[in-house]
Amino acid sequence: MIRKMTCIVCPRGCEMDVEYEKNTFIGVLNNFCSKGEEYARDEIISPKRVVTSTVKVIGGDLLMLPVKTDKPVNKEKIFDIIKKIYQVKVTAPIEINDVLLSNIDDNGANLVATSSTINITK
Amino acid sequence: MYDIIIIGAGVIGAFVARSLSVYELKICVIDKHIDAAMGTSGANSGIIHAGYDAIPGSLKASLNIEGSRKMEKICSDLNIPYENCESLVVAFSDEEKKVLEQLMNKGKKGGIKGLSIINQEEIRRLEPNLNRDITWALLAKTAAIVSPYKMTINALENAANNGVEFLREYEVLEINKENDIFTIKTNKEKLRGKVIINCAGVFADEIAKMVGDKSFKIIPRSGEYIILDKSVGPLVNRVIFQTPTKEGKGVLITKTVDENILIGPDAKVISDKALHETHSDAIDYIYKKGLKITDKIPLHKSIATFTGVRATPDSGDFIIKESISCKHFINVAGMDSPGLSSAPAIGDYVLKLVTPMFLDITMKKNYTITLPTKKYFSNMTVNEKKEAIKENNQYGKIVCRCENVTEAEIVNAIHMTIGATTVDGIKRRTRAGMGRCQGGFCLPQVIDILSRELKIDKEKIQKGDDGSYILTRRTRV
Amino acid sequence: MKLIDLIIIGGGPAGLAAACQAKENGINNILLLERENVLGGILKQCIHNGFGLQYFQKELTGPEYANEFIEKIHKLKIPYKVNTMVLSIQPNKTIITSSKEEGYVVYQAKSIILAMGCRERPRGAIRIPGTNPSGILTAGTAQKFVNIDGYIPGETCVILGSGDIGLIMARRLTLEGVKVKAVCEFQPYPGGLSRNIEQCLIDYNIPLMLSHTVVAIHGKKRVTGVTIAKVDEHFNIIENSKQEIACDTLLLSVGLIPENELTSQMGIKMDQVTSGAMVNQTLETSIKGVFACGNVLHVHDLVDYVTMEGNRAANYATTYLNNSKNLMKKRITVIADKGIRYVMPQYIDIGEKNEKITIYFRSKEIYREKNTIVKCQKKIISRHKNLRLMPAEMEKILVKTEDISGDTIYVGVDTND
Repeated sequence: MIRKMTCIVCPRGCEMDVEYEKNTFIGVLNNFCSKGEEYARDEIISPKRVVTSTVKVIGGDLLMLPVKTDKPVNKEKIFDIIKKIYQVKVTAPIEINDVLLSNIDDNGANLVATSSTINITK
Repeated sequence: MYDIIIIGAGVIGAFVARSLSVYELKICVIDKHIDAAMGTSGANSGIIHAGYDAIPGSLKASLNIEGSRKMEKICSDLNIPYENCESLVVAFSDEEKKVLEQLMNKGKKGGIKGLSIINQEEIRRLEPNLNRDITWALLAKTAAIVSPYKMTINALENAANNGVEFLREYEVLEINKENDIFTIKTNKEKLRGKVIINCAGVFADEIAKMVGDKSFKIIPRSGEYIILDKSVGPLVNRVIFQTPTKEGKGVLITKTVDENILIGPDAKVISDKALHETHSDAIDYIYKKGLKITDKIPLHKSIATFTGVRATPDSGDFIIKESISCKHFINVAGMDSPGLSSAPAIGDYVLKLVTPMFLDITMKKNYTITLPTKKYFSNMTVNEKKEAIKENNQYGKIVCRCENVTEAEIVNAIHMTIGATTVDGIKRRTRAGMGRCQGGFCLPQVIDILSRELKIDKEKIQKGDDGSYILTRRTRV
Repeated sequence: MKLIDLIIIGGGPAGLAAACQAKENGINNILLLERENVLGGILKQCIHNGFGLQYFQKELTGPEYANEFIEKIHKLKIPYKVNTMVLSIQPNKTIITSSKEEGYVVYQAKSIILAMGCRERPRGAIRIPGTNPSGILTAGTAQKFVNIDGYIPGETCVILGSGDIGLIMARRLTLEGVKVKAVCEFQPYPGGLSRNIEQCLIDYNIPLMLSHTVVAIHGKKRVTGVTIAKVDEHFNIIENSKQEIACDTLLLSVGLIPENELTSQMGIKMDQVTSGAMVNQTLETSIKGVFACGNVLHVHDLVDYVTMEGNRAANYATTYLNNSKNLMKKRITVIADKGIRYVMPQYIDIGEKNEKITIYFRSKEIYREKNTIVKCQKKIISRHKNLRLMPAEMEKILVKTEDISGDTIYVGVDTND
């Protein structure tokens, strides 16, 4: 079967034609680069996304700390991961890239800070 | 027990309160809304008419002329943005010129100075952007513009500084009278008073009915407007009216005291007095009518549209008298145009009606008829700005980028006697959020400041009346 | 009054890039002015990923992207002031600022880079009819509430406009438990990037309703619903397509406008289509030594391009400050011709040396497999084949100054082939 797919890897947004059989990836056309093929393969076998959100900070110059999963996670797990993120509370200071919750998807992805925040209570 | 209860915190209620506030009387102004100027007074063209429109001898004519004469002094006393920008009524034919002449003669009979009919060449000189097919115009040198909500708020502030109480979110449900004392049942506590002054705008007939007075009816007529951004510049320098027809004064174009351009209104009788709604056909209509005045209207520079509702009386003239069916109940109703222009004169007129109702009334020992002069930061000179920031560093923080409104001005608006408690209250007092981004940038900051100064949670901050919350919950607890 | 070689107004991506680049070019007497309390501009609230693939060759979130530059600002010891608002700029490059900390301060700059970014179009700009309740806000304001302040602006939401911020907010609100009922787009094609349609709407089953608009807002105090309708190919509302959607929030993502109060107040010539300054190929405005870059000049698709433009502005400001300019012999006007909405630069100043010049442009509508051509005096001097031209995507084409004759060149879509 052929499926039209818009690649989300970069802003170019290639409109690709992806050939597959059930959960088996066969091939891709109209992708500009090899990342497109990788993305198409993942989309057929097991679609993945980076999840971004915020967590509450105590004592920081930021009220909310922006966070992300440090690698793409399974799409079906997004809402489970979001629920875990809701529970996270951190105390400043936090450095960018600090791991706030490891192995958040039970598949090796960590929740990391995407900004630093200093402690303003001290 | 109040001596006087004024129902309605619009411009009329505010000026009536101000006039009465210098006497030793216990007075309150009550309004069902959360702030003053939430009805007609907050949504109109802000024009101070010269006074030639109304029928000579009518209340409208005399009070308009008197109000217009008093306006400059009052605005200066009360710190209300005012500009004597003049007006033109434009004519497209000799036929219409005749109407201009009639208006001029009517005005001259009423004693209005500075009226003249000018020709095309003169029109061109005064208003280079007007269309070429305009042949004549009636110039009125005494016409002016004001900020209508500032006029209302500041008059009420003055009254409040003299001791008048302002009771917000008091909705009148029922009025009873026993032994010459009125009891007003509200959504909150009952209020008792000796005299009631009904300044309830479009709802004045419904309030009058509560004391059995069915002598008049208010026909709510909506008018829609378009506001253009300041960057349009002086598209017109004056208030530009079209020659009136049977349908009314028609669509006008004016600059505002905040240097925007305002186009409108249309006129439509509506059924729901409280529904201030804009419609695309009405906006199209006023735009097209506006194009007759100047074809240079840059519609893409619009920043807002709004609807105001006129309180048109079925009798035609203003109704300012004690009710025939209820003693000590004074109707001040039917204030459609030129209600704003007449407001200061109406205040004094009502004063004369009310004072005989109280024996031996004396003036307060300490009262004021002015507010301290406070310039907008954006209108200050360089030295004034430097001084202001030195004195209060909150003047150094610009919150509204479009209108250059500072944190100090917002804090002051919250802590004045009739302080702002809502986002719209801040907007009407300071102009924050009134510019081209319409609060896109400053809304979060205005909410922060309101929450901080009033010590209430951000979820509780309202745009206007209760129920107009802006935020629903925190993302994380 | 303090004399500064280069003052950069705005500490968002354009200003940050310009400041770093200028410093690296050897300009030491720099000052970067930012009105908010931290550097980074709008990137701080763009917590999603997808930035930096072009410029850093890696995928970053907004705060991470900003951090790359903020760290550099500190490392290069570039002086900056936050919480400082520029009140006005005079044509002689006197800059008047105010802040809580320092009060009213005046600077004299030798050169200025304008990098104030842009703002969102409000409801009034498109005159959506209806009542005036709370619950109507621009997508960016909602983004600030959610991501910076930590508050939700409503529980059921319709989004008008499929610009990228609108799409990003559709996903963001969904993840925060808000029901996003629909994204309506007036045009027959989406306003944002295809990848955002895919990962923000399709991933979450949020309907994208093309050729639809909001024709009425309901609710006296808070929004209670909106009426939407389909529009035909001439953008007229199809009456019998009207339907009411119950919601408490309407988010608007209906376009961005460069924030040019300071620019126009100082008398700089403006382009009515971009709403930015008119510039030559060195990003220099009609006032010598005043340059513009980033979204204050024209709205960009990607922050990466904003950064690159910031770098270019810094390079041209450096050239200006070092008096090593290519002397101007002739000014050429660049016109947006058939199928093209705008071009940037609007002028090309031809000097003694020959140059290759990149003209950036946006098309008026979608074209597939068409050539973009540059013509002067009826001669085609440049041609570029585009697989697809979309209004949402900025494109570019090269011209060589030696090929230009006459005083005007035209950039257009060749609709013949």
